[in-house]
This record gives sequence, C-alpha cells and structure tokens, in this order.
Amino acid sequence: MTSARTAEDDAPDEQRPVSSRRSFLGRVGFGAVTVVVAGAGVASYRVFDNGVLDAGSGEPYDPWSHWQDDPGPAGTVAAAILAANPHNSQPWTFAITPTRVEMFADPTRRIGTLDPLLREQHIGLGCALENLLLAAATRGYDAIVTLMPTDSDPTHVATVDLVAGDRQPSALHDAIPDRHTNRGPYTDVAVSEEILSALTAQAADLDEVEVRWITTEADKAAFGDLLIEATEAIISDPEQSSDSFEWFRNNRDDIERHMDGLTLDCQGLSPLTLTMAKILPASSRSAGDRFWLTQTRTVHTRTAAAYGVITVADIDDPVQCLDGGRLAQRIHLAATMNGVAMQYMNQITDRIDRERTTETKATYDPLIAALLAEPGRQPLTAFRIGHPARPARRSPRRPLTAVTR
Amino acid sequence: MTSDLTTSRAHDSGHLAARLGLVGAILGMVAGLVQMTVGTRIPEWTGAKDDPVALGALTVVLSAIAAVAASRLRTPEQLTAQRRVAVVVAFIIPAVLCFTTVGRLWYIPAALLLAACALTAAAVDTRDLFTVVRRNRTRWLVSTLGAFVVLMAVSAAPALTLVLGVVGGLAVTVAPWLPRRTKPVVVVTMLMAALPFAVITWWSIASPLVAVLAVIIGITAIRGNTHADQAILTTPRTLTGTR
Repeated sequence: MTSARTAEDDAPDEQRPVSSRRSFLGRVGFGAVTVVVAGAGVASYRVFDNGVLDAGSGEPYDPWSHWQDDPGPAGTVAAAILAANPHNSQPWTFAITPTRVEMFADPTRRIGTLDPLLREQHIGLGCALENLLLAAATRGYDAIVTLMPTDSDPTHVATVDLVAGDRQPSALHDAIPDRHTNRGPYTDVAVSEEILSALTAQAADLDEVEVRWITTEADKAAFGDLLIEATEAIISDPEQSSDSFEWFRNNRDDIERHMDGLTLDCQGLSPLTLTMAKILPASSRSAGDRFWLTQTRTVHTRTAAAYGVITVADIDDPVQCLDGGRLAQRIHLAATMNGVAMQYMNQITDRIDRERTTETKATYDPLIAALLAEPGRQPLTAFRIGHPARPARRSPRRPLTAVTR
Repeated sequence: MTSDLTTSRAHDSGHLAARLGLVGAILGMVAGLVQMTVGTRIPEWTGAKDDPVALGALTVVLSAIAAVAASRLRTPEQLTAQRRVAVVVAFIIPAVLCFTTVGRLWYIPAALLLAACALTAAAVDTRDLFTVVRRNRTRWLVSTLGAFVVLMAVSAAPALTLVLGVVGGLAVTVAPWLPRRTKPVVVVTMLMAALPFAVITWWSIASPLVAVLAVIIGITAIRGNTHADQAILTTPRTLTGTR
C-alpha cells in the first residue's frame, strides 16, 4: 500500500519546517488582514446606517429647504416651525385658514421636569410666533396678534389674523434658515459693543421684556460657575436627567422616525469626534450626562464671549413668556445676520422651576438675582454668544403636515 | 461512462438551477417594483421601510444581477469553476440581502434563489469551487472592500460625492479581476478609484481606512503568483474523478 506523496513530502527534511512555518505565517497574516477588513466593514456599515456622509439631509431636514415654497398662510407656519424651541421638542400645532393662523401648545410634547412651569414651552412658542410674523410681513400680510385668546384653553397661545397689506421684507426674515443653535466652541474674539447694541434694540417694541448682558470677566466667571453647578444638579436629579435624555436622538433611524430632538450633529463636535461618536455604539444616559457636564465646563462656559439674560416682570405670566420668546428669536436672528453664534443655557432657570415645584429650598433664584441686581425683574432665559469656531448644523424638523390641525 | 453520467447530472442540475434562479430573480424584481410603487401602503408586507423607493430599486438591481447569472447557467458549454463561483455569489448576495429591503415579499424569491444557489454549487465537485475561492482570497477581500465603498457612498451627499464613491467602489470591486497582463492599468485604476472618495470624505474615518486597505491588498493581489491561478480560472472542471 502506497500513500500519496506530495511535493512537500519529497522536499529535503531541512526545508520542510521552513515551508510549513511560512505557510503558517501566511495563514495567520491573511487571518489578521481578514479581521481588519471585517472591522472596516463594520465601520462602513455604521457610516452608512448613521448618516455620517449625509448629515443634515433627507426628509427630517427638508423643512429648512422648502420653507419659502408656499406664498400663503401655510408659508408663515413653514417659517414658524424653524424656530428655536426647548430640546427641539417642537411643542406646537397650528390651525390654518386663508385669513388666520392659530397657534396651540402641544401638551404631548412637554419636556417634563425640565420645564414643570412651561416657561420654556412658552418661550419656544414665542420664538415660533416671531418667525411666523416675520414671514407674514414678507408675504404682504398685516398681522393682528392676540396672545392667549381663549381663557378656558391655556394651550391656545395665539391667534394671528392676516390682512392683505404691503410686503415688508426684512433681514431678520432672511436669516431664518441660517439660524441654528451652535453648541461648539467660540473663538476668543469679543462681540463688539455695536453688535450688542443692535441685539438689545430688538426689544424696542416689546413691553415688559428686556435683555441684560453679562460681559465682564468677573460676572462671566460667576455666571459660568452657576451654570456648571446647575448642570451638575440636573444630572444628579434622576427625573430631570431622564426627561432630558428622552429627547436625545442617538442614530439616524431615531431621527427619521421622530424628526425632532437633540442630535449628535447638533452638539458642535469636531468632524472626527462626531464621526467617532456616530460609529461607536450609542451612549448611555449617564455617559450623555457626563459629556454634557464636560462640554458645559470646557467648551460652553469657557469659550462664551458674553451671556445674555432675558428678563421679565413676571415669569408666571404666559404672555410675558411668549414676548420673551419673540425677543430671544429676534436676538438669535440678528446675531446670525452678524455672524455671531448663540446657544441657550437654561440650566439655572430649569433648577429654579424644579425647586419651586418640588418645594425645596430655593438656591439658584437668590444667586442669580444677586448677580443680575435688578429688583423687580426675573430671569426668563439665558444664552451665550460668541464668534463660532465652526458652523452649526441643522436640527431635524417635523413637516407641516405633522403640525397642522 | 462515469464521466458522461456526471456530466449529464451536472447539466440537468444546471438547467434546474437556471430555471429556479430565473423565476426567483423575476419575482424579486416584481417585489422591488411593488416596494417602489405601493410599499408604503402595505407596510406589513414590505417591512415598513423608511425609504421604500431606494430599497425597491436596490432590490430590482440585485435581482437583475441574479437573472443575468441564471441566464449564464443556461449556456450549453460547462462553466469554469471561476464563473460558477461568480454565479453562486450572484444568487446568494441578493437572496440574503433583500430580506432587509422588501420584507415578506422576499420569502419566495429568496427560497428559489437559495435553491438555485445550492444546485449550482452541488452540480460540480465543490472542492473545485473552494479551490477557486481559496486561491483568489485576496481578490475577494479587495472586492469586498469595494462593496464597502459603495455602501458608504450610497448614503453620501452631495450627488458628486455619491457618484464618485459608487463609481470608485465598483471599480475597486472589479479591478482585481481584470486580466493580469494589464497590471499597470489595474494599479492605476485601483488608485484612481479608491483615493478621491477617501480624500473628500476623510473625516468619515472609515472611507480612508477602506481605501488604504484596498490599495495595499489590491496591489498585493495583483502582484501574486499567477501560474496556479490561471489553470483553475480557465479550465472547466466538472468531473468528480479528475482529482
């Protein structure tokens, strides 16, 4: 019986181990390369699945491109839904007729313990109302606004009667599609007095609403410390932390399903960091909280050129909150026109309202009152401004069909 | 006598595989068209996809490739092992992938394509097919990397980036299989195909990584020993008794 002999069997003995070793090393090398290729495949799939190469495009972002398509009343609402609002919850619905637009708060889109007294909801609705009015003027409507028109329905926040008039284009209107919250770093270039004055002037025709600027290094440091402290308090509060995380959209599927909320694209990250965040598995709530605190400490407060605080006489008056929202939107649009970035920093007011509703000792209210030193005025909302180190990205928006009755 | 019998069986299996593959591919194209046109109206059948038009179109394209592969099985002459492997791949990729594109509509096409795939592979000595796969493993890796580029590119914007990525990815997929006598052309094709998309999407991390791997492995594949490959690539081997 003769067994089959291979070429390797016939080789001299001293050559066999070398050949075998080479073969073994070749297989190991190929295996290693295959593993690397498989890893590249996983990364490629994550790039595809999480929209790394097409951030800010697709149906959730279409409202930013088509907001001027409709010349009628529906077009005013198309502008309204691009407004700033709390956690991008888009807490609004609209009823549209040829001569009237009615705006309602959507109770299903509240942000829970972060906004227990609905001040932020009313600010967001005020922002939307401002965009709506700018769009109405540009489209040739004279708008007659009635705030909180129905005593029995606190969700009915505004009625806007549209009467044919002259077209009144405005630079603020034109800035609507370019206005985005910028959570990235700002440069160390100061915002000029001229720009601050232009932003302050936006309050001229709004009663009971003012903006107070915090520009000195000492005041900025004190306000920044208060923001960091409030952020720590929020993430230590399980309910507030959960309510905040509920609005975070971790991946492309979530964005396309909900078309709202906070996204990785809107966190102001550098391109490489953003890609890594999208390729790696979604972060947990606690990891997200730690990231927010770190960003607040190392980016938001450290690079703020100035803080603005909008104040009112009575934060429990929804009309003043709506007007405060209108002013905030105007300031944001005017800042955009001047190449200045803006980000809302509502941690302190979030904690003030949380302490009020849980009947715990007020810690933040007296501290900010002392900082502002304006008796009779109450802080409604705060923000930071500065020249952006990198541009902000679009946030997802629900289409008109989803927000009209 | 044994050779004739084996050849006859292979022939019969090939024709059955061709019929099953063709029917599966046609049903697959129909499923894709249904997804594109009325996919949103019958989400329980089509998988409630966010982008039914694109996924339906992808299904049609992949099914069409399977149809072309099925038609190759109907030729009277025996396929080389290399081409038989290509047919198997052309059946199995849509059969598996399209479960994620058209939902339940894919159940019947998938069953037919998988059966065609099994018959195609079983019609000859499968060791020949494995030999083809083994000897061309670096080429398969490069083609896989090309597919990764296409996968990333189809989600890219703007359109120029998308086109650059898809064309480049397809070129990377095909390049290792070009005739070896055109080695310089293949190398240049590989570089031209892989690098531009990687450069304009550098921040995606994955696309530069894939491009570097494709170029390195691709050039290695092209420079590899050709003698042994040529025999298996060009000679039809369908008889079980030839080993």
